[in-house]
Amino acid sequence: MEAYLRTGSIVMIPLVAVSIIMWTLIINRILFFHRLHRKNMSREMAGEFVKNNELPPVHLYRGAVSLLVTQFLNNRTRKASVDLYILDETVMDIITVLERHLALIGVLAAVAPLLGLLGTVTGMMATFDIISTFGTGNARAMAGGISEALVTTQTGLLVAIPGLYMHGFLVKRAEKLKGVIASTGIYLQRFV
Amino acid sequence: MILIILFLSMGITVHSFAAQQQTHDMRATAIEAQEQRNKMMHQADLERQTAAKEANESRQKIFQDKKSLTRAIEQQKQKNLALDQKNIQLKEKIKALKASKEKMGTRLAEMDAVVKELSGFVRITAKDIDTLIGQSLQSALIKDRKAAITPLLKTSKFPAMKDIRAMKNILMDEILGSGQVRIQQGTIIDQMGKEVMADILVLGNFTAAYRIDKTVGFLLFSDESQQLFALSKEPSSAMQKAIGKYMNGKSDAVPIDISKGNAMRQLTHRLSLLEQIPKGGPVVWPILALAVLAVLIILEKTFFLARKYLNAAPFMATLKKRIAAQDWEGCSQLLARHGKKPLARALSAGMDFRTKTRTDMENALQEAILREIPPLERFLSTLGMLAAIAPLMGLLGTVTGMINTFHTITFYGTSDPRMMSGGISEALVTTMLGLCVAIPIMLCHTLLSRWVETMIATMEEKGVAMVNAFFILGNGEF
Repeated sequence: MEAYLRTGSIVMIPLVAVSIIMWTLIINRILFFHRLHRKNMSREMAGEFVKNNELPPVHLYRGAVSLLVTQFLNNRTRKASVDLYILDETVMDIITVLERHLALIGVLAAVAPLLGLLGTVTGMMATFDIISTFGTGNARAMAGGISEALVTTQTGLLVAIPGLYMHGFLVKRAEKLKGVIASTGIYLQRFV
Repeated sequence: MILIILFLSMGITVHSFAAQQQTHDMRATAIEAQEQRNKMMHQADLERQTAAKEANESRQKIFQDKKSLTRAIEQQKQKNLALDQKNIQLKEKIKALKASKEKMGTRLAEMDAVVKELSGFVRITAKDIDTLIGQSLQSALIKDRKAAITPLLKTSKFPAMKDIRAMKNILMDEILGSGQVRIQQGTIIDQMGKEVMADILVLGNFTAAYRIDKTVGFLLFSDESQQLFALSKEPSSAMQKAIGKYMNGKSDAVPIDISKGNAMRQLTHRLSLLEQIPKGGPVVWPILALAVLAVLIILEKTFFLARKYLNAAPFMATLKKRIAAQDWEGCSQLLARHGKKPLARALSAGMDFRTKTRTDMENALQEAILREIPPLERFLSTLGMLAAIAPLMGLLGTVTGMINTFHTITFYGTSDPRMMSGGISEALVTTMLGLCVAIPIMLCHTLLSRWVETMIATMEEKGVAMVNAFFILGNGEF
């Protein structure tokens, strides 16, 4: 592995850094979304809780809906006209949180192949440097530059492809959760 | 002797003839003659006797002489025979010697050839060693190494054994040195061109590194001056650290140049990012201008937003408390204190309408928020556009660079890659710069727009919260 990184020369450093940051964010987001998805209560149940003005038990429900319900119940004023707006506010607040980091993941995934391309170019430059000194006869000498070019391209793609997939996956998941929260918000208006 | 006798008898005959001629005194004369004749006969007899004696003696002598002569001849003959035999023997010996001489001659020729070959071999080896040690960096650490080799190179005679031994020693030293890693003190020529003492790390025949106090660097070997000199450019700090650690015995890995200095010379030609930028051709400057613009916008936006940022939660809590207490003076004071923040400004616009209906108040808030949005969002779209344009500029540079390359190819063909490198480096440098500029702009743009969005959302949310607070106060009657 170390040898592999070494053949890729200096471009491997930002590539690895991009990969590490990207995957940290991805894992962070996956856990976050997973937590919001898990142990979600049904809409009806949320309505029950709101109607009874009763906080959902923390150990049972930890999903997005229970987050909404908890946050709303903590802020509500028991005045219907005000509470409607407070519900809106809560929905907005939660939705903003959902989109955090996703753009950065997307841009890191997009940057990785560009870094790979940069590595290709520097590798080719090294190769042509060798050619201008030793001519084309010395295939062994050229191999270093070529392997640099190929290894970085490969790494760039290896970082980018799963990154883009995960970005798409997370965006979809965020959309879904947004939809759930927005619709629950509208549904809960009845019980305010 | 015999001849004398003959003559005498003849004389006598002649005399007798004359006496007969003279008749008258014939008798007297005859007697006389007789007498004379007797006398003479006697004498002749005597003479004959002595002659015979003499003849006998001489015969004896001759006989003896003959005898001794024959014996001598016999001896000579024998001698001759012996000599003949000896001659034959000698001739054989000569023949054998000739054969052996011939043999020796061929052997000599062979030996001559071998010796010539050997001396030629020695000379070739000496020449090889001369070039070898001329290029070997070990020579910098051993003084006058070439002196031992020079007599072998110059003479046309067979080299002396002493010189050959010296040559062997040099070769052995070289072999040993090329297999060693060692640190030793030595003089080098530093970057300023001065001779200095330094710790020299010698890695076989490949690489040498030096350390003077804390500066660490590579050494190159000059075969002309037979000296090590410091590389004009210091290697990267990571490399220096690696060498320093190795010299201190703290690490077992060290960078080594197996191309015997070529790669290190390359190191001096390596361009830093700043030096590379002008190689990107004309497209580089708009990209850089773009980068500068983007940096200015980002800085401006960051300071602006930081100044406008208000930690909403505690602010709202105080405000709600004061509203609940109907402390209008306190409310306006609080809002005035944060008069430069959009949130406070928007809320104070709503506050002015506290005596009016809810709809009026909401409208006022809405309007105030809408008024706050444009300055917050100012330049953000420009920044986004810059982030989009920068890689496109890079691409433009790529294309112009490739066009240049293909121009070169159409003129000169593909035979010399060096010719094409100008266009290629233009293409690559612009692409690189485009990406280098675009990536941070993109990131900053996203972060800034997220910040603005959050601020707007907070304003809306807190606006509703404030209206609700009034609503609670008025018991939902206004």
